[in-house]
Amino acid sequence: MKKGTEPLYSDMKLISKDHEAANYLDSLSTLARRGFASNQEATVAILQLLMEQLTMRSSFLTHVTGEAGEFEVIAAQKEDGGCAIQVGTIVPGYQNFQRITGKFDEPAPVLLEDLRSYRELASHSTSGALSQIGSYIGAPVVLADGTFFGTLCAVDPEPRQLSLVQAKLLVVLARLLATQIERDQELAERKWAENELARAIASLQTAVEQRNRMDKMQSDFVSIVNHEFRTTLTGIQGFSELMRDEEFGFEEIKEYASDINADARRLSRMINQLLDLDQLRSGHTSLYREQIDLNAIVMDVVDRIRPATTCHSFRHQLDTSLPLIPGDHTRLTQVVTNLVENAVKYSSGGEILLVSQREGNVAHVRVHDQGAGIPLEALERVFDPYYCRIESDTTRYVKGTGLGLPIVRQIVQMHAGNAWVESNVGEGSVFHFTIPLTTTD
Amino acid sequence: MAKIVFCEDEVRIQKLIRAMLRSTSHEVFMALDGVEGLALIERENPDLIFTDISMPNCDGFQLAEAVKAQPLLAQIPLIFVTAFAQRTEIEEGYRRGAVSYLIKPFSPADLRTKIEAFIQAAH
Repeated sequence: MKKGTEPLYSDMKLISKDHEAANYLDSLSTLARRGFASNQEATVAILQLLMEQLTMRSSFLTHVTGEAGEFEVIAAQKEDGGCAIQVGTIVPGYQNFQRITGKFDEPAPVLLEDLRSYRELASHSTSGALSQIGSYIGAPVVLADGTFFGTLCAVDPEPRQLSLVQAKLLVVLARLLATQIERDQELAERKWAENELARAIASLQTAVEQRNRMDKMQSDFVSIVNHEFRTTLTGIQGFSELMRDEEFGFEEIKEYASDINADARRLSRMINQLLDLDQLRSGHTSLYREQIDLNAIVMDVVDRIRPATTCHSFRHQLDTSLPLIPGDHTRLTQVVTNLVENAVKYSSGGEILLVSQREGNVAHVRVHDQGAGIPLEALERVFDPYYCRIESDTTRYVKGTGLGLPIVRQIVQMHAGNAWVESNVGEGSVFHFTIPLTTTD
Repeated sequence: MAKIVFCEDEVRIQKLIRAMLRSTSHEVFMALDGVEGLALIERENPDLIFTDISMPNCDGFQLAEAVKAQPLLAQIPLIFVTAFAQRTEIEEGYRRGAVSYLIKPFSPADLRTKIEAFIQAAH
C-alpha cells in the first residue's frame, strides 16, 4: 500500500476559489433541472459536463461485467485531442486502479494526476488507447440498493491537476447518473410487472370463461338428461296406469305392453351409454384386441340399422384391399353403430354412404349423410360430452344425449386413431375415423 | 266435449294421449311440430291447445308466440306439455302466455283434469 489510508483529497492541491465553486454548482443545477427522456440523453449530458468542468478531453462510463472486475465502456465522449476510448472496450476499472494505487473498498473517487509512469501497466490491458492516458479520475456509480454499476471517468492524454471541488463534482455527477439508471430500471421493472399482470388477468379471464362454459354445459346436460328420462318415462307410466285402471282388449294390451317395453329399453340404453362414457373416460376399460375385419363390421351395422328407417337409403364403397386390423370388435362395432345411428337421426332422409379406404398405414372410414349439416363453430364441439344442441339456441329441439360422438372419439383414440367431422350447413356431414393398421406396442 | 289440438313430436306419446282420452267425448287433433300445429289451430279454431316444447322445425315457445300474435287465436288457452321441469323453464313458458303446465310423465287423470279445468274456464 503505497499511500496509506489517508483520504485521497489530502494529496490534491486545494484550489479554493469561490467563483470556481459557484460555477460548478451552477452547471450542476442546470443539469439537474433538465428532464431527461432517456438514460442515453442523461449520460451524454453528464459526460459532456464532466469534460467541460474538469477540462479533461475524454470522459466515459463503464459497466461492471462478470466477476473478474472487468469493466466495459458503455458510453464515451471526446473532445479534440482527447483519448479515443471506444464503446465496448474492456478497461481495467475502478477496482483495478484501486489495486494499482493501493486503495480498497473506498467509495471516494480515484485520481491519478500523472500516469506517465503507469503507462506500462496500462498497456497490459486489452486496449492500446489506455496507454495514451496521462491523467485519470474516476468515481464509482453505485445504485441505491448497493449494487456496484460501474465507473464514471474522465481522462486526458496530459497530466492534470484537479481541485477538491472538481472531484466532488464528479462524485455528485456519478450519483446523478446512478439515480437516472435506477429510475430507468424501476420503469422497466414496472412495465414488466404491468405486462405480467395483464397476462395473468387475461389467462384468468379465459379460465373463468372456460369454467362458466363448462358449468353451463353441465347444467345443460343435466337439463337434457332430465328431459330425455322424463320423456321416456311418460309412455311407461302412462300406458301402465291405463292398463291398470281401464278395460282393454287383448290386442290393445299387447300393443301397449310393447310400447312400454320399447321405452324401457330406450331408457336402459341411455343409462348404459352414460355409464359407458364415464367408464371409458375414467380409464377403467381396456380393449380386447383381435384381428378385425372393419368392412364386415360396417356391413353388419348397416344390415342391422337399415330396417329401422324408411326414409333413408344406404350405399357403401368398401376397400377390399383393407387388411385385418388390430382392434376391439365390440368397441369398433359401437363406433360404427353410433355414427350410422347419428346419420339416421340427424338427417330427415336421403342417402347414407359408408366408405372404407386404406391410406398408408391407417384404415380410414367415412360416414356421409345428407342432413342439415353442422355450423363451423360446432365442428369440434360436437365431440364434447355435454354438447347436445346442434340447432341454434333459439329452438329447444333436443335429440339424444350427445354422448354418441364422445364415445366414438374415446374408443378411436384408445386405438391410437382419430375421429373428426367435415360439414357445411345445408350440405350434410361426413364423419371420419382412422385406425392404425398396426399397433406400436 | 271440446276440440283439442295436441302438438307432440313423439308418435308413441301421441298414441298414449289418444288412449288416455278415448273414454271422453273430446275431439282430438295431432300435429308433429309447431308448423303443422299452427296450421291445424288456424284451421280448426280449437277450445284448447296442448303443446310440447321440444319439437323440430318450430318449438313450443315459437308456436305460442305465433298463436298469441293472432287476435282470433290468442284467447285459446294454451298448455305446455313438457319434460322441461326446471323453474326457469316453467317461468319462461308462463311468460309466453301459457295458462298451465303438464309435466311429463303425467297420469291419465292429470291430463283429463287439466282439460276439464280449462274447458270450464273457456265457457
